[in-house]
Amino acid sequence: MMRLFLTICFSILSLHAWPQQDKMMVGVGTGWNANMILDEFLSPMPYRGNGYMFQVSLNDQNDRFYDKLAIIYQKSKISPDINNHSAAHLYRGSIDWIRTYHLGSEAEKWMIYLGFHFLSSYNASSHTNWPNNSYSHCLAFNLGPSLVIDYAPWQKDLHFMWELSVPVLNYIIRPSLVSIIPEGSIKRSRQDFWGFVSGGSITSLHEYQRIYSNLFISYRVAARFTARAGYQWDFQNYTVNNHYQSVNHLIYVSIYYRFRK
Amino acid sequence: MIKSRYIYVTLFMILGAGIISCERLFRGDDPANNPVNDFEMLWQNLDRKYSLFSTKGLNWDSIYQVYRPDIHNGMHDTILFKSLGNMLLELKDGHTDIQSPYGHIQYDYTVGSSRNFVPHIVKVNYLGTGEKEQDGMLYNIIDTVGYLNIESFSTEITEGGIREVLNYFSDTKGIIIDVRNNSGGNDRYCKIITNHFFDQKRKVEINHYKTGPGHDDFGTIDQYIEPEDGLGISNPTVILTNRTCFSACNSFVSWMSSLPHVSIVGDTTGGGGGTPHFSELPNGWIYRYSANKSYRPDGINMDNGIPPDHYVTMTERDSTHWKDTLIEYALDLIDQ
Repeated sequence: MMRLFLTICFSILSLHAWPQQDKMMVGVGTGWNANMILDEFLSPMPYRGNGYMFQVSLNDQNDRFYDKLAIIYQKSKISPDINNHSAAHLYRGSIDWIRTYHLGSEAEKWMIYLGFHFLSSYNASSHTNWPNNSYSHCLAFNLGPSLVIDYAPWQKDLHFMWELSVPVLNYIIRPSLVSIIPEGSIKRSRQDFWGFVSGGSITSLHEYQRIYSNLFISYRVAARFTARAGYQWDFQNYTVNNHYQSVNHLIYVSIYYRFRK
Repeated sequence: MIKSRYIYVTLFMILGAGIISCERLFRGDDPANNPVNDFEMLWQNLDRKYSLFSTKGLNWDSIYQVYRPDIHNGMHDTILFKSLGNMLLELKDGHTDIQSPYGHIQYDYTVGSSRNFVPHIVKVNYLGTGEKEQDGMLYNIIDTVGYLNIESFSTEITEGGIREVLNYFSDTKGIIIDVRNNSGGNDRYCKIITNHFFDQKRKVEINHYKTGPGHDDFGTIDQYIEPEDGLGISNPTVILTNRTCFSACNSFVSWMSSLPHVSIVGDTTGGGGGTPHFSELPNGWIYRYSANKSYRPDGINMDNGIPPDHYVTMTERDSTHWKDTLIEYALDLIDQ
């Protein structure tokens, strides 16, 4: 199953020879995040807090397709809503790739794109007080459909955009019930790196649900520069063994440089 | 026309943001903070994750039937704390305890055992004025035998520190490692020390990790110690133990006992073979429980403690004459 999953991933990635873009942009961004994590490996209580984020992304859009590759790093401090000095550091890293195709044939005021995504995210928590189960994580690779809506009401330089992704096939690596070693790895008595990587499980919507929504405004401020401001909401829910829930709100600004006019 | 554009933009924003309003629907409510839920969450979490029910022959459902009727919303926190604490004491596990602003309830695994250790006798009569200290470890040479006292594995023990101690013992005819009253700490520091006594890679432990919520759902992983650039000490070595040796100290004694040139002298160690995990309740109280269990390569469960090769008890007579019976026994053993 693991090989099948990897084959699907590589096949999709190999399809993605970055096209001869006429509007490819590279951007950097920063922002503020608010998080809720419920990770029963650490605690049955939800931990909440906020922090910062950085983002680097490549973006390409024309009247045929919309393509985005974003690398995001976030850090925040989270704690439960109880008075016992518990706290944890939350680190989130993600590489998100969305590839969608325009449903129409010409540039219009409303542009609707439909395609697929390959999202990968690593959420790691480090509890500040607990020595033996201080560290927990959720490494997720997701495949599924994506929808992008682009609305440019007044002029071509101002766009209201919404990206929505709902994964249907996933590979998840979580700690086993009471050990940081993934369950599959224990069953095979493997404690090395490959044991860790192969110790996850392939899941679908019945065990893992994720909704990734990114709403932003894009405005061309100069010939080669575009500014963006947005709000991203990312929800994950994994129900095997230790229940895991993650809600990530991001408010961000970014600036993009266009390679060609 | 312009007006319709504004409407579209507004609708667009509502469409994108509207999904977020479903968050509560996806997430559910936070756990309720009341005595009944506190009890249920504690009982259920241990039911799924505690590793020693079968080892201890405990029926956790029966324990629920005993304690649950006393729990009701509105009861005073101190009574709730006592009830939860008493329920955990049924497990007879030094790694399972509960802390609250009203105190700390923990099983005493040393009950009924001899102390077997008087620290000031060791300090005055054996370490003496030549006592040296490194990384919290006290050491000296007694009659050409190296004596090392490791009070805890909680204080950091460095590679440089243990090398300095063991190099100081390089001309001795044997080593005594005294871990009496060492109630544990970090396994990593144990490995830093044991690394210098192992001559080859050896299997020292079989860890049983829970893979599911059933009381017998376990997977196993073997633990090895492989000497890496160690000193390769092969001199006769004696480990002194008492019932207070617990957790990481219990592992240390178990690992060292697998070596042919090492003897264990004293009493059976306190056990604590399961790694304690922390958790918390909606009222903020913090508790621990044994999250895995460990066996020696010969199949003996480490939670019951490591029996010595030589049972030796501190005598009253030796004690009044400022003699440590165990150290004297160890010196004789090395002499032989």
